Amino acid sequence: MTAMSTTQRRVATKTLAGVAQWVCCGFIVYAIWAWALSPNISNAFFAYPGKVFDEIGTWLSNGTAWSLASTTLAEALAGFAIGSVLGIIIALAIGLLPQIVGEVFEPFVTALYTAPKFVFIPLLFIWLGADFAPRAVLVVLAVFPVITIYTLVGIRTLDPARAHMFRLLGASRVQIASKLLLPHTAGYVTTGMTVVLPQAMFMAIGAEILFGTSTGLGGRMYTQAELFNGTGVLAALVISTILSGLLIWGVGGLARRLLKIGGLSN
Amino acid sequence: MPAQTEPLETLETAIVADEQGMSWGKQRIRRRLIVHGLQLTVIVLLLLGWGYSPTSIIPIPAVSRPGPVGSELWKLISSGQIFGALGTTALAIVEAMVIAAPVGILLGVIASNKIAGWLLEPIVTVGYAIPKVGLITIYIVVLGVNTKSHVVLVLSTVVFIYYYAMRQALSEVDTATVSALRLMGASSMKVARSVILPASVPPLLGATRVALPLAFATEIYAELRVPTSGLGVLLGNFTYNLSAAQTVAVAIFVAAIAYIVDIFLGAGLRYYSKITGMRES
Repeated sequence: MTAMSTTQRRVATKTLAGVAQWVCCGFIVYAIWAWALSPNISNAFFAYPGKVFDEIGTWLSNGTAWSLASTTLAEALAGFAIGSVLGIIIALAIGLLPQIVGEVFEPFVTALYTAPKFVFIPLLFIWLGADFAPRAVLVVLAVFPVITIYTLVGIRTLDPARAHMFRLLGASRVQIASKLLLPHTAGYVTTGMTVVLPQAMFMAIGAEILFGTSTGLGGRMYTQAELFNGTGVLAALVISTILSGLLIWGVGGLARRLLKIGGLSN
Repeated sequence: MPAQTEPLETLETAIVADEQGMSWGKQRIRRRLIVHGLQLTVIVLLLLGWGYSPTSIIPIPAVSRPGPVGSELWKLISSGQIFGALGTTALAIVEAMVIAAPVGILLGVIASNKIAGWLLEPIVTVGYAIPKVGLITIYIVVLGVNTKSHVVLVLSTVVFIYYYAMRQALSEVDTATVSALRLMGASSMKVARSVILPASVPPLLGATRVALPLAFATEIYAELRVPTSGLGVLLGNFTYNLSAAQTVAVAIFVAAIAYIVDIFLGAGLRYYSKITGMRES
């Protein structure tokens, strides 16, 4: 049996340290939750961690957790996908057309970015109802301006000298776009997507709560709160947190891996 | 959010301006007028599209028409009702930001310590991942159906932005300068005042620019969920009464306020950059 190399030993030590860190912090949070907070608040509204994890276990075994998570994820990812595609298209249109086009249209994108998206919920409720569509549209409204702005920054920070050099070497517009613009912009787009993905989840959950639905994780939080079932509310919250964390970590890592594979990382 | 780049004045533009007998400043003013004119044209076209589209495309019961919306907006402004609601919303936001900023900054400073950072980092990571919109239910239970639950919700949303901004600021502090100051006998307070504080201001100003729209959105959400008073409550009441014109009027007002505040913050940030740039040169 060969001894572990220095690198392997370093990786193992780092992994152990990471696990120890999370276990330590998990214990602190559990202690605060179980011994400091819960005894002081009625069990109708705020449950002990054990009860919450039992509830989550029940939901996992009877399929409720998957059904709730899939509804919320579907809204978040549908809105995210549509918003990202729209954002990239609009940014490319603004960025590659004459500068004056960007100067005219960018304030509208900024205005949409700064507007509190929940303000559109009443309009969407009257227009589209309280089903899947208005929730996905709300996510699109949250995602689209962020992706547009990040993509525009990527396009605008492209070194013009390099573009001139490509032209001098006889590259076509398609070649400049694919060999220069795309790799440069892809990093910014990926960063924007990683930044906005948690917001997409939060928007989907917030919309479910405000629309007063019974579907999705937000809908479950809403209905359990109406029934004064703190255990249910916290269980839905814990599942949402785990999902958001997995999305941030998973999608960010996947995007970086795809960039690396495509040779697009800067 | 990444900083948006300003259009650059090129040497070619200056030469063209000079050849046309126009000064640099006049050329700039002319361009601004053209851009604003085009923006106004786009707004007019959007309003015309909104006003004359068939109901099958833009349903009147949902979004009304520009005329009634404008009329309701004017009524709300002239009666002062909307400003009263704005004041309530703004007060809650300011209360939350005034607490969140120092707390976030303090946590960021504490996290710069190795042991504290080791303990704090996972807690903050999980805290950041929690969908804050779901916490309102818990806050209502603990704090009651009043503005306190709104303030705490906004606080718990915004505090992470200041935390990460302070972490970034501390990581960018020039360690060589700090070492040099310490070698010359500077105290920790002196180092903090001379190096750390000036280095922290730009990221914290940037964090405020990100935090304020987020705080605004969270407060509107809290007011829609827990109707006490404010713009969200106004919006909710008009929706409940199925008054599309008033609902849209309030929505436009809220979006306009958010945009104006962002413009002022952006201008303030640019002014600060300009001042510090002049001092450095």
